Amino acid sequence: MGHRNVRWGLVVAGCILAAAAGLVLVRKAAAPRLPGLSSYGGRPAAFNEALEAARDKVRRGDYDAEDLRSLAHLFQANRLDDEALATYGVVSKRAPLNAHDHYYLSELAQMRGDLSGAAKELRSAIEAEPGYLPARLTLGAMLLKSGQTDDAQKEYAAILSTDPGQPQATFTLARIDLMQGKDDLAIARLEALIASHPDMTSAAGLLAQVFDRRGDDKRASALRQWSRQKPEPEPVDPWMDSLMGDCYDTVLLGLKFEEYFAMGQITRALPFIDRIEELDPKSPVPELLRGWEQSSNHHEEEAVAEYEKALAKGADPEKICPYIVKSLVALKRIDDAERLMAEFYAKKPDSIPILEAYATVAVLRDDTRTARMLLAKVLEKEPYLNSANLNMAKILWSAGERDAAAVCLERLVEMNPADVASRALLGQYFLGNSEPGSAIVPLEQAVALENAQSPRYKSLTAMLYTAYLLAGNAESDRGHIADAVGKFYDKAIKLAPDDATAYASKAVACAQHKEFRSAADALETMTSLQPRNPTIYLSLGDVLYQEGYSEQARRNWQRALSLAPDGSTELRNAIGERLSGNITADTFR
Amino acid sequence: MKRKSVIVGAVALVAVGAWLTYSRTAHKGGPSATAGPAGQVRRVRQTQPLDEDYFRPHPIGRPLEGLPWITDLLICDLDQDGLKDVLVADGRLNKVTWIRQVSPGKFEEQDIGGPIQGPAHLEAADLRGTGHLDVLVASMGIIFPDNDKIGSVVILENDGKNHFTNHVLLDKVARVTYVQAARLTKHSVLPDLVVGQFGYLEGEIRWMENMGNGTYKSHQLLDLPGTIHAPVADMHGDGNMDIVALVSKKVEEVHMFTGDGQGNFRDQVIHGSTNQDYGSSGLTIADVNQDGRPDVIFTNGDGFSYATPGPRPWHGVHWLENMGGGKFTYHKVGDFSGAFSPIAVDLRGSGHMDIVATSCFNDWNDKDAVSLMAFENDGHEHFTPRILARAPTHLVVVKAADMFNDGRIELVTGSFAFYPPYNHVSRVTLWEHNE
Repeated sequence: MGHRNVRWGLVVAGCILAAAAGLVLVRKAAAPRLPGLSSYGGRPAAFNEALEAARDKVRRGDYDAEDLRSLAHLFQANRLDDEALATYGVVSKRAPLNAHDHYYLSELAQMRGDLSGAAKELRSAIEAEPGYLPARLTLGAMLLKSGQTDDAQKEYAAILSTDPGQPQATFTLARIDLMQGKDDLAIARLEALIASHPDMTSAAGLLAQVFDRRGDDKRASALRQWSRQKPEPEPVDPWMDSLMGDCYDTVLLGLKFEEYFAMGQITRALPFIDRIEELDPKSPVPELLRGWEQSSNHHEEEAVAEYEKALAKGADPEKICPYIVKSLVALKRIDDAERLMAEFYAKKPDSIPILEAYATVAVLRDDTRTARMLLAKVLEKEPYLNSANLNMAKILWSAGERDAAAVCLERLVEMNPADVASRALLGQYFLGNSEPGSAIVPLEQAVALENAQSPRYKSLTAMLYTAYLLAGNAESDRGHIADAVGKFYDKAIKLAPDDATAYASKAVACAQHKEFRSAADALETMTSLQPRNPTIYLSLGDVLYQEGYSEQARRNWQRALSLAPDGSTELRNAIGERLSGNITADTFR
Repeated sequence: MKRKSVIVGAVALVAVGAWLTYSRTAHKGGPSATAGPAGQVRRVRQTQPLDEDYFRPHPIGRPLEGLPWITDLLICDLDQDGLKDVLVADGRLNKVTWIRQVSPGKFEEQDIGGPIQGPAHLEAADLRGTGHLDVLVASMGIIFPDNDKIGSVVILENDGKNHFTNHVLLDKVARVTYVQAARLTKHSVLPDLVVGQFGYLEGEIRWMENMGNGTYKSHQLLDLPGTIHAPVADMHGDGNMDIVALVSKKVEEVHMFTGDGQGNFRDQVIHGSTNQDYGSSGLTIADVNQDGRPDVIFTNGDGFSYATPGPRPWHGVHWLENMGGGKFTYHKVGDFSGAFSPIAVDLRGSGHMDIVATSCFNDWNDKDAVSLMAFENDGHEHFTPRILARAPTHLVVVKAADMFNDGRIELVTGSFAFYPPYNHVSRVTLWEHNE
């Protein structure tokens, strides 16, 4: 009996244990499976720790929806989008999705290019939180970007009905107006928009484009200036900002910093630097970004201090040196810059950024020897660096080494479509080298680029004029009269139509090649420029005579004689010989 | 009797199947198809798997001097000698060059035309009805951001003897990044032009109606800056030419301008992103699924104007499937950091369109970073990423063609070395088969 009871007892206990184990297993099987890995290689340790903590909290909290949401946010903020989406799936099984969930799900849908899915989620978010403006603006954008222009228009109109003049909605409605060819409506919207929101530089840019297209250059120009200010601020999006609080990716945080900084939203930008620093206290990136920010605001002392801290934390000197030199130069601390660069040059003698930065300092110190040595090293490695070529060209030109300087100048001209100075110097070099044909192209470009009212324009056109004449003479000497006239003399005449020199050169060349009509035309123009110059009439008579117009020739010689000064015996004799009919083959040589 | 019918049926099925397979391969081979002796299309099916050994890269043209800023390449037989050549837009040296295939596999590079500031895109077309290919160049003026009106459209006019003369068609406009010649209306006799002007704060897309005698009349299509590419195709199958444009900057959108054949175009946005750092980088049109409707493929991978350029997790290659009736379905082809220059090409002669793209803005400090990727099509438009190369780096453009008329596809890439490290930089690279 006793044994029997014991046996029964054991059986019952076994059954209870089995039932309990079964219950545990059933419960475990029924528990949602958490997506993703327990840790991710290549991610910061802090992220994996946060992930572990979030997963633990979910498990310990019996898969509470709020804990699951925190886990989903962690995935999403670090662009583990598949894991985030799956986690929201788990959330949806534990509790109804709220406005934030739908908003975040819309962002995930956008990231995978599912615009209709994003719009659907946004509609759900708006239904739950109709007043959340960023969701409404994003819905408008989603509809527009998926080709549902009419629906987008309705959504933006709805935003304006509750938030009149809302800048992003107004701007996009103007865009839609333009797409539909309603220019006047778009212009009215954009003008009203920049009047009420002067910081909407995109609107100013769009309006400038429209006015430019319509030929209203004055208004286009004014709006173009307006649009060149910093980009307009983005509307505040606290829900998305809060998501970024879970971001452990320093690249994504750095991008957000840049985005807000570029828009002038410094108070929104700076926390991202703090976050980067918090995640990786050894990282020099925060100091680099702070230095960059300080320098952009012309706080160069503070910028130098930040860059020095970055260097002390092991930042790559190749990245920092160009920045710190720029700030030190702005502060006129050239000696400090020189000391610093000498130090880094000794450590990294082949680094192009360090060589360039050091050369900049050497040029500023007038240390030509060092600058030349450094620039030669730079250009050997990287022949097409702008500032290196410019500095080297200046040094070589001043040293009289113009052939070597011309190599740098030619590179500068190749690289820089708007560099007038290099083109002018190169033209001067070729002229000095008796290569007028080579001088023409850079000088033509320089003249086209230079403001016609500037003092430099006059000297440029004078050089180009000379180049045309010399090149024309050279072509003429080679017997290529058509090229001499068409490619050079006529261009010189067009460049300076009141200067008689080119007409004279053209006339001489044409006469030498027996192109008497062209020579006569040039000389006739000269008579209008210098109506009291007897030599021109003498030459015109000569040309006309050789062309067979004896009577016209005679009239011109008579005119020459009447203008010739009494004391100019040689000239008067030459004219007299012609008028007396004493003309031989040698007369016109 | 029954058995015989089955056999006849099976034979017929096999024959029909073979014919269908042949038609599919022969007639839809796109840029990878080659003409055999009798004009018959000939393709060689490759058995080698698509991987890092599939192609053997070697530089062609002039040697590397300094850092290359190649902005575009064009494969065409410019001198029409039966050998394909490569045209190069060099943004640093401000010129267009011609890497001429003087004999099979032998290339020589020469400048063509005069200097062009910031050349960004090349097309070859017989624009003047001379029977010779002229070269159409989109000129930015300056490659780096600038809002001045420094863009232009230049034709390098071919005199038929391989001498090219610059003829400026349009200048003093916002920076031009794209130009294509096409007959955009039913009454067009000579090719019209589509001009995409990235500009900076201002920019636009216009089409220029060819009025004859070298004159053009501009018609505005879009007032926004940021156009990267704007190719032309009949997207609706109605015989009228449409224009599809990738517009980046703030909007990050794909626009389709539907043409009515009379010179009127209706603007519709067919895709886009609200991510301001999306980095749209390139778009082409190709019939990816070979259903007779041209599709759109595009990349996002640009990292040009950042303090910290480099890869972003959202970079990749995308396909907008043309469903007809102006509807498109979006598909992600695959992730690819720093992706640029998508092209559709049947790499292995399988009859299916693969997609190839380059990476210009990857993390080149990472020796595993990929610079050239193929997304292999299994025939059902399921794409599998296949790494083709990790070096040379900074590849901004890829073009594909059967360079040697042997039925196999070669690639040609160009590099834009914008940020360090520069340890594995090339200029123009030909990717030949390793087989």
